Amino acid sequence: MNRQIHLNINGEEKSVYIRNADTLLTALREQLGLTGAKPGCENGDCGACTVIIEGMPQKSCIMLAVEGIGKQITTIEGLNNTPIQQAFLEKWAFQCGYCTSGFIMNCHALMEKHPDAEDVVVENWLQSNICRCTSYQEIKEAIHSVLSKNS
Amino acid sequence: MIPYNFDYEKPSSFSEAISIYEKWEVDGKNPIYYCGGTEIITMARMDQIQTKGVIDIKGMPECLDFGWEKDQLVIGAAIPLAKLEEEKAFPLLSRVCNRIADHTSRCKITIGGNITGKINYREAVLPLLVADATCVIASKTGMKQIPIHDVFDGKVQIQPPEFLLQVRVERKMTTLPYLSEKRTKIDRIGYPVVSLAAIHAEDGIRIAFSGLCTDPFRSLSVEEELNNRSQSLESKVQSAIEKISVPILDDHHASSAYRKFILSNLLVDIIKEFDEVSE
Repeated sequence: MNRQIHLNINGEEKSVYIRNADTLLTALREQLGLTGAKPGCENGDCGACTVIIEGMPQKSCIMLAVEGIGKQITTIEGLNNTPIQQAFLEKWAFQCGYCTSGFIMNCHALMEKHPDAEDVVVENWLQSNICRCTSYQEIKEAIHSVLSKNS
Repeated sequence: MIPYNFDYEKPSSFSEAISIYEKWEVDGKNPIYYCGGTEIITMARMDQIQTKGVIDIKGMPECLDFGWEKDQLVIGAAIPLAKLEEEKAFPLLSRVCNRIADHTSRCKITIGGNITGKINYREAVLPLLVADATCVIASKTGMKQIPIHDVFDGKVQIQPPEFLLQVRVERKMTTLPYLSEKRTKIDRIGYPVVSLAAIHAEDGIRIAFSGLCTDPFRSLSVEEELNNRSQSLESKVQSAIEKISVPILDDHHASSAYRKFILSNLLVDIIKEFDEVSE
């Protein structure tokens, strides 16, 4: 049986009808049309569905939509011309693009929390996402270009 | 997609949670307590776990506690591993948490969920075993504090409707020299072939293992051999391995012989490093 809940997504209160068993990923994509978060493994492994909850990256496939009640949820649609988005373009940090929104959300949360992150922190955070096209070097360059501007 | 639906409640007190559990059990809903939920969601998606009632325990203040209470570090069951990793209040726990899953997943996985989950490795329990932590259990009669060694025997032995609210660690245990090592089959992120956590306490080396056998464990007889000053380094390591009383795993991650080989080398390294610290 579906129920109505309210979620704060990208700064707006949204009303969604969900099952308690629905993941946040399902609610975002199928109820709200926010398809930037991608279904990849749907098992918490690949990071393609990463969103930001209360400033921290979360894989929306391993979070129930009902857990999002009262939280500030940010999806890729909520980012607008951020430094890391620009850097991804400038460094060609993508090929097929399927993993890109997940990578950007993780990178954006990292930059917000650790604007002067050292390599060990970058690697620790970025191991959460997988790029099947192996754009890792370009993604690393994109991150470092933003970090160097921050410093 | 989870192929079935369930009722969901997020009570604000543990007594309310227990009441819901008991009611739903009578109603035949096979209720489960839900903390980080990563394991429950992935198992439910594959229909490996069935429930008609999910009780989210992240709404109760005791589960969200994190900080010092006199000389005890209080860690609520709903504290994510990423927070424990970053705060470094208990450095050994921080280090062990850093090697569980990946960072984004650790933002969701909680210490309570990791310890009480179905997955065998439960690596977050290792520092708690060597530190003689205390578990705070929610029960119908209130909160009760029980030594972890009386609660954890490979798996957490808590019978619902009771559930884990907190773990507590004495301050002195958090300041001791420590070491932690993890070896996986291939990559940095993965299930452990061998994972161990050790501290050097007044009574010698204390050490706990995961990935080596079916369940995590700490063995006093293994520690006794490692702390036997009458034996050579190689002899005490060999004796310690012989004292492991449960079968060493032999699976697709590693053979039993390879696990013993890795373990032997790690134990030699750990004894040497602790000897350097104590000199």
